[in-house]
Amino acid sequence: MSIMPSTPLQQLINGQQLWPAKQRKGRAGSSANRCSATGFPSLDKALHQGGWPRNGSCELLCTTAGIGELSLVLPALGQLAKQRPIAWLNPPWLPFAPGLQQQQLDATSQWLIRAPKTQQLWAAEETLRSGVFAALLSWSSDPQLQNRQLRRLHIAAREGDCWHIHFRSPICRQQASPAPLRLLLSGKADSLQLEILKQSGGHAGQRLNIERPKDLLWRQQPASQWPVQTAARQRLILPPTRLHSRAAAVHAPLRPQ
Amino acid sequence: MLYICLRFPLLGLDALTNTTNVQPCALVDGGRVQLLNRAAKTAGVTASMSLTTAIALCPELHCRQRDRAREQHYWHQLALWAYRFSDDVSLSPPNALLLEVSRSLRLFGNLQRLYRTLLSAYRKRGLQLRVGIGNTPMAAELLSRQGIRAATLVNARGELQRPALKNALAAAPSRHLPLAAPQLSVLHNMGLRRVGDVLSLPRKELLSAFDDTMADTIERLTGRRSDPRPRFQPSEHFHTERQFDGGLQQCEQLRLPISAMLRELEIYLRLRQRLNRDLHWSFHFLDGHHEHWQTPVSLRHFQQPLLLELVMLQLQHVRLPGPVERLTLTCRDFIALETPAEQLFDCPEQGRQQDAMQQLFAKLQLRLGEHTIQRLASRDALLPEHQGIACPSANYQHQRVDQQALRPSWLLTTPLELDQQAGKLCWRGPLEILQGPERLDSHWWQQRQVRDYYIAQHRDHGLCWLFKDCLSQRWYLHGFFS
Repeated sequence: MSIMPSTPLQQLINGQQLWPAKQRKGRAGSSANRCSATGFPSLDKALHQGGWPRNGSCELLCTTAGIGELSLVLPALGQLAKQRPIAWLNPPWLPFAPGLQQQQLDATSQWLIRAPKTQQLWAAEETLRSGVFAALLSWSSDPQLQNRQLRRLHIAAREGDCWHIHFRSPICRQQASPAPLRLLLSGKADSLQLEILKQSGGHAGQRLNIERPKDLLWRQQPASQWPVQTAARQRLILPPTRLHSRAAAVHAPLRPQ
Repeated sequence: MLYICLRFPLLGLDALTNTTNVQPCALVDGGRVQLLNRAAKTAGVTASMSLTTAIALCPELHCRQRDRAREQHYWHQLALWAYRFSDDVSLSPPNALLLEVSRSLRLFGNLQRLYRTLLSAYRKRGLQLRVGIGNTPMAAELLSRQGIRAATLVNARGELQRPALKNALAAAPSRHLPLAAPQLSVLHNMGLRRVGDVLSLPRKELLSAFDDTMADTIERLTGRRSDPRPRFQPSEHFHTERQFDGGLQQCEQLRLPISAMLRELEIYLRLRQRLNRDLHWSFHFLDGHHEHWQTPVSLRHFQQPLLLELVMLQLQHVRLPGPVERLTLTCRDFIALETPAEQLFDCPEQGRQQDAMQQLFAKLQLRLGEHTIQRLASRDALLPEHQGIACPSANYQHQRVDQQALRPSWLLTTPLELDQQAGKLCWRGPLEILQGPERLDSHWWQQRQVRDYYIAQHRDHGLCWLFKDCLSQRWYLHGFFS
């Protein structure tokens, strides 16, 4: 850095109290230690910090399960889990250890905390502040969290040097939040669509698609379209009345009896 | 060898009450006054005065019946306390403690500093204390009858001057010698008023004038004959209690006494090189009933401030049913203290991380319940619900499984049965099957499970993991590929 770290300006920037509207050259180098690579080059590029923040709150707004909301953070978590364990607070279902291992996340460093509804915020704050975990993934049953509560969580995460991944409902999109990074997640047929609602270090509003793994979306062809000899295929062709809907043909061999 | 004798002249009274200097107090045993504090003495009450006379002299006299068991217990507690000054502590009946301090001198610097620390430590508890210093246990006991100030025995650098000690012993009155009454009166009649007079007599003369016990006492006093004292052994269980006159109403008021009790426990544990596993509290209320509490402890080290926070956390949500009159703390289960194996290239960061984790889990478990914290594990099993589980950290087992087929990142612990609408599977909308089946056939020895697993896509583009139970022909949702 060209500026001495002791100048008041640099102190303000380091304390993240000042918002640098214009990106300066060399900032990526200085902030490299404060962020971790997401594992998706397009997302790294879209984030001004160059990756996920190392600490503080980060909100992921999504409603349906299975659109790839976990796989978005799993590459970074896999790296973080090598240093410190990771906590899951009130996940909606059980994180499946063999599945996580397939995505290169060590299952032995994953801790599950179940807290009753009234104690959720307390447990989250204590866990974040303790500095034990590299990341906390939390799901809150209460969509109407107040600004004050969210700010406390963010500050606790900063103090404990913990990355707080807060999964919330898209209803909260309109509500202001102290979290410096907010992403809206929605599913598409073959990709996960991201919209960056808010991020530090520059403008927000980027939209990008992250491809889902090919082998997950691989579609089995119905037997009618298998590459067999033409003569045999001629015989296998079904009457046109049953082929009017393609979806029905896809399901034909798998339909429940 | 250097001995310090701590004499507590008002031990019986101190054991029962802490307000010895404010109002006149007296300890009564068998209708007669036994011990009295300074306020009572100024009012004209004397020892062995009958109770009626004493009350006639001083109507506001606060009389307490002697309780030997509590006195004994309190005495032992004081002995436990003295362990911070020396490793060799013995009880000296009826109301004194003997400490061998020659090795402690180096720790505390010099005698003057040790003496001051000792005095202030006991004075802080509001105890009357007299100190005796001597080369032999008996000399220390003898000098503690009157009390001696270390300042008269040390030089400018705080080191002990042996001749001064000898002079102090010689100047002590001979009536304090531990001898039978007839012998003491003989000494008195012979004009031997000081210990120095007795010691200056030739040994032969002494033997001819008195019997063997006299010569024995003198030899033990001067150190010519060894005088071994049994060392004080702390009891197997830890027990301490606090009495609150009038009762305490609020939890926050209990913080100070609880903190002091935990500190006592800390000393006890350090002494025995043990670690406790739980704290048993019992609250005795003014109306007579009592309640028991337990604080589970699972820390690697005993840390008093942290433990205090845990206990206060537990008390935070409790409404005391009434004023607390007495609070006791008991610990029965102890484990041997593990000395952490420190490697040469070990990073201290890891140990701190471990400690922080234990502290956090102790807090969470105390407030949220025992089984709130689990750890993910995988097992080498056939069915998915046995393959990936969350098990409590106490009995954690993990086996690495190498799964070839695709596995979801979320698992429903109880599979959800799916509806079918017009021949299509539905779960919050229609499901479109992408690939499958993957057959699992197992548990024929218990209840046979034949399942065909499929990956399906939801209307909102979420990827689900379904299976068809081939025996019952029903469809279930079992996970999500998140």
